[in-house]
Amino acid sequence: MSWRDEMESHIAMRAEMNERAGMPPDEARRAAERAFGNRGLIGEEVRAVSMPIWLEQLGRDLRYAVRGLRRSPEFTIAAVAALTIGIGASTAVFSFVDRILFRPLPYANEKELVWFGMTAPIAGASEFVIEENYVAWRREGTPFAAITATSGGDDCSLSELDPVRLRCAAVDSNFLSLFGYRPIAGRDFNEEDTRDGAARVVLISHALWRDRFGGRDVNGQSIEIDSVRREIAGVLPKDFEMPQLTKIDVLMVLQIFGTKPPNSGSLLLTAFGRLKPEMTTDEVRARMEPLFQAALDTVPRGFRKEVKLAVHSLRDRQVRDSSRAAWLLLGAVGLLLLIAIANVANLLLARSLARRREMAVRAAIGAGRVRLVRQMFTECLTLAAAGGASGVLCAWALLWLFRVIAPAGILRLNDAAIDWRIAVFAVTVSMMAAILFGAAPALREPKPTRRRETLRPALVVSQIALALVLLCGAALLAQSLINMANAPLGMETGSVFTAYAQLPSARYPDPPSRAAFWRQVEERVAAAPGVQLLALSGSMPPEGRTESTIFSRITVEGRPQLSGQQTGGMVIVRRVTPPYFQILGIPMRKGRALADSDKNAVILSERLAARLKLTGQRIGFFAEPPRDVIGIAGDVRNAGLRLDPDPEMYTLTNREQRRMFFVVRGNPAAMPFVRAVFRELDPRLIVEVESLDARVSNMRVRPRFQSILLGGFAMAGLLLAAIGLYGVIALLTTQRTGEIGIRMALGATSRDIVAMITGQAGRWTAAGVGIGLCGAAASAKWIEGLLYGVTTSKQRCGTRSR
Amino acid sequence: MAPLELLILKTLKAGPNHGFGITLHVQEASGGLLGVEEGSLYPALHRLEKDGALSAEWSTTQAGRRARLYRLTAAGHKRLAKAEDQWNTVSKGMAKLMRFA
Repeated sequence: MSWRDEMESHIAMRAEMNERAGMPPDEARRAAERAFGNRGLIGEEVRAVSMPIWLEQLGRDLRYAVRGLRRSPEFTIAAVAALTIGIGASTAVFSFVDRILFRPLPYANEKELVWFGMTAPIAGASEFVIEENYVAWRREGTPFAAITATSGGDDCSLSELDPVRLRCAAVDSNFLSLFGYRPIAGRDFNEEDTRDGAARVVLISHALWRDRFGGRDVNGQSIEIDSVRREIAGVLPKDFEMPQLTKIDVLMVLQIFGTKPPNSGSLLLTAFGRLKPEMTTDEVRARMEPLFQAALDTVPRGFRKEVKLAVHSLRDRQVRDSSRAAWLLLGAVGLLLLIAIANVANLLLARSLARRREMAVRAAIGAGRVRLVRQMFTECLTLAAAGGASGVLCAWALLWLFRVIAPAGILRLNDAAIDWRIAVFAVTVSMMAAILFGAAPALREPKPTRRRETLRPALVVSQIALALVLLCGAALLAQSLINMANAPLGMETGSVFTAYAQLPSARYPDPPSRAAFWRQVEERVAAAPGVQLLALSGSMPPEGRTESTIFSRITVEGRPQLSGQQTGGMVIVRRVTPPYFQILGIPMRKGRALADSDKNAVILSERLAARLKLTGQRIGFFAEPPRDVIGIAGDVRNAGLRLDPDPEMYTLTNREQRRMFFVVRGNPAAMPFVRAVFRELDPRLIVEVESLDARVSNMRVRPRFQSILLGGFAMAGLLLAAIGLYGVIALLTTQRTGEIGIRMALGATSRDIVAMITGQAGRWTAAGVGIGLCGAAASAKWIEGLLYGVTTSKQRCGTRSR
Repeated sequence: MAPLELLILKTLKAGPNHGFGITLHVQEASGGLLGVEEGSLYPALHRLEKDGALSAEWSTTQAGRRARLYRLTAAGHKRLAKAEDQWNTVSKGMAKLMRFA
């Protein structure tokens, strides 16, 4: 029931009365309506009583705003597009980066958690704690409230029917409790499990539990890992996450507290600690130092100088590898957002200057200043709302796109969702910019004197400069990607594929059993159709994961041992069969190729030979008989993404390794045959068959992803800057129509005019480029760490971006 | 206090009524001397309702027609009393002034 009904009821009653007084119905009704008066006007007054005045005016302002925006569609589309790109990109990227940099870790009191250990250049970037030291620290206590350790993840196989490759890690019994986890079914590990002769128990991940056991009760169930049956003690919670962020399917107990079999070597553990409540990371580092110094005794003498103590909060350490890329992305979209805002500001500024006359007229016919402010405000609000809405849509689409093109293993991309805080932030910032630049100038008293324009050129120049910074960053990343793709691998990858398998020690306990198995496979694969050449190798370039030795331990016959405290870094040792060089096209620079009879021979890479300064002598290395150097092979990229290869040596394999690559030159159609050979001989073995090209290109996926993202942002930024420049030049030129007319009347040719206008654009562009190059140079230092084989002082960046 | 409001409040003191009823009552009770225009009546009714002096609800009249019935609230009674006082003062003053002139 509304006002309309009330009015109708009133009129009907009067009409009825009129009828009773003797009027015909039609006339009675008309007379009643006449008596009531102007219904629309009365209705407006009645409604005005119940509606707050600001709301009513807002409605009117909104209508004006929409009408005004529709009147100049080019402006509206450009502004909304700029906002969409800026808000969309920044929201999407922040949503994704936030998960890496700022999200809460799933651990209880995460601020107390610390990742500690020793670091040494030869151990790469990861911290380690030597088994004996850890055991002693656990027994005797440390400055920490508690410490725990894990062996780190490793491949293992679920060796039941339908075998699967899994990731297993051994952990100390207090591992879960230290991080504040509790199994969702069954029990946690306890001290008993670490004793000698204790039953072998495991905790399985939530995913494995769901996929393999259908989420059923696992009490008393067992699982066969690497051909050893293990009882399932419990199930890990769904949010369980290893502190190293590695994927894990099975946790086993670290058996380090019992009696050790002699000559078994020491495990290198990854250790974590929980701080006592009142202590800081720095304090604990200082207090760990004496324990660390004592522990150095267990470190071989040659290393001691290079070993350092490392103590980091878990969060800092976790994001160490991805934080630079994350900050880079964040910086890039920050720039993009700035460009977008500058763009919108410029558009609004131009528009508001053009509307000065309209505003003056409105003011003259009685619109209050407050009223005018409100109207401009509403217009900006409408614009920002439209930009914000389409920006959020754009962010949503971008996140989806990231997920599609991102390589596997990008940290937590899959659970990235639109972050509303940042969406609101981006919309607010652009709205404020819109108001500042759109509403403020419109309110200035229209002055007849022509002032020199400074704000708009400044905005244009800053847009160009920002876009240039973005573009240079993207160019550097792209250049690095091209370098990486073009850098010679040192081998031929075409029509080569590999089959990789790892033998479980439970079923292949001794070297002869492994050699026998590999020989069987070798014979059958060699005979498979489509296989031209076959070699075996313990590892494959260009991946870094290899067997290696320490440079300073290599001795050269007739020369004193290279002494000193330095390790000299690592030397890759690759155990291969002779066709390896031929299949991969690795040239022999000197000497002869490897033969099946060369039991005591070694082939050096050029780099290693150069470092050893030798050409054809015998060299020895620890605990093995000396070997004759029979040849020197070309360098092969063998350190993953790094462009300069590590020194490397090749020896003949005795086929006793647990891990083996079968390197095949031949028709890719032979791949299923090779797989079938393995299945026939051992159906429970997991085999990875892959072309070498695919292996190499997989390695480049992550840098490519970064380049695509940054390149996309740079292009968007450039586009925005170009639109901005065009818009301002066009507007200024229109404003100067009169002046141009006079100039032409006085004899200027159209060429002069074009020169004048483009000269102005050129000056702005030059200023933008100049400032941008300085910014790019400053930021280039910063992204150096993400680059492969690019020196950052790239002067061509400037010329390229024009 | 506008005389219109006084007329409305006084009318409703006799009992709940609808807009048309109010116009009729004012006309009849004043012996045809006073009349209320719809254009002022309804905005005034709605304003009084918003101020809390009146409450309104839809109901059916004796003639079986749907109408919005207005009713005095407690605040409305107070307002009426005050308005009557004011009016009496004003009219006395006016009467004296007229005689003097």
